[in-house]
Amino acid sequence: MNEIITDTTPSPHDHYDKITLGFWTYLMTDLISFAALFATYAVLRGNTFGGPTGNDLFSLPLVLGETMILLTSSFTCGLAMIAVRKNLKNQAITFFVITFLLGTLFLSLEFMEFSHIMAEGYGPQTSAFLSAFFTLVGTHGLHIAVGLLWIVVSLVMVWLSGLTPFVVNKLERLSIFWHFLGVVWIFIFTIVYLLK
Amino acid sequence: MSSYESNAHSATVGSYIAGFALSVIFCFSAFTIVMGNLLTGTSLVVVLISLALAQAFVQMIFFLHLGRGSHWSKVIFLSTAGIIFILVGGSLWIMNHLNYHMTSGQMEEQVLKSEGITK
Repeated sequence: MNEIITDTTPSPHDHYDKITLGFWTYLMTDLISFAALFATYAVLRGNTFGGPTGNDLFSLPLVLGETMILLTSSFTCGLAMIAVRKNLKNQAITFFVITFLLGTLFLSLEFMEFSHIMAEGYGPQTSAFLSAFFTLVGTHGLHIAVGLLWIVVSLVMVWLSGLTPFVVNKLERLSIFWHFLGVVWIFIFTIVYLLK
Repeated sequence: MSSYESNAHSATVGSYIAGFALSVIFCFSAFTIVMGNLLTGTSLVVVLISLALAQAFVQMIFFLHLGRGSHWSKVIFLSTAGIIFILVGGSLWIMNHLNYHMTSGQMEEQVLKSEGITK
């Protein structure tokens, strides 16, 4: 496997290192956009315009459930990467499928929460607080949705071409993305849901 | 050995289990404190933010393996942390000052008086 790659590029690991570093740099800029949304939320959280506050709308048991699901999915994603590095294709696919299912469950719960709040008549247009809330949490949810799509595409690639260095490097970046979303969620459940 | 290789071989199931267990502990502590109303006011904010930072640190070390990859990933992360500190800290600082100076008509009168302006 390594021979094929060393024939085509002089130092494949350095090459993949650079790609991973470039992706990490993108993630850090993404973190800055999340920071801007967090700052917006922190500034506007009190501006409820006579509408409901976080205390009236949020259900902590639900958020604890979401948190555990996302944390477990981060864990299974790590186990999938260990299987990938050991070249255990079926085990890697199994763990990525579990990660995908947990991610889908997380997103469904978030969707449920959003539709519940909107069904009570409190959409993003209700107050500055709710605009900031839906934008911050929704942006994270959108990232999760992109991650889920990415897992599907990666699984198809693993299934079609196996764990080649090219595919392994793609999976490496997918796992970094997924763990990154787990870290951002820590601040969402702390700042949005716990410090309400 | 390149950093990609060292990165790839250093992660073990044990380190993921350790990271997962620590994260669960931090997370449950935070939810227990809030759901049981154990703390209020500034101490609540300080404790919850500390728990969040601790959990983020654990996940970055055990899941993202920050510190084991290339040197540049750390440099980029630390610069980003600096930007975020200025962005979030600065926004809160400025907006709090703005609120402080804009909240009530009483405040406005006081400012007008101290500046020697008459309506």
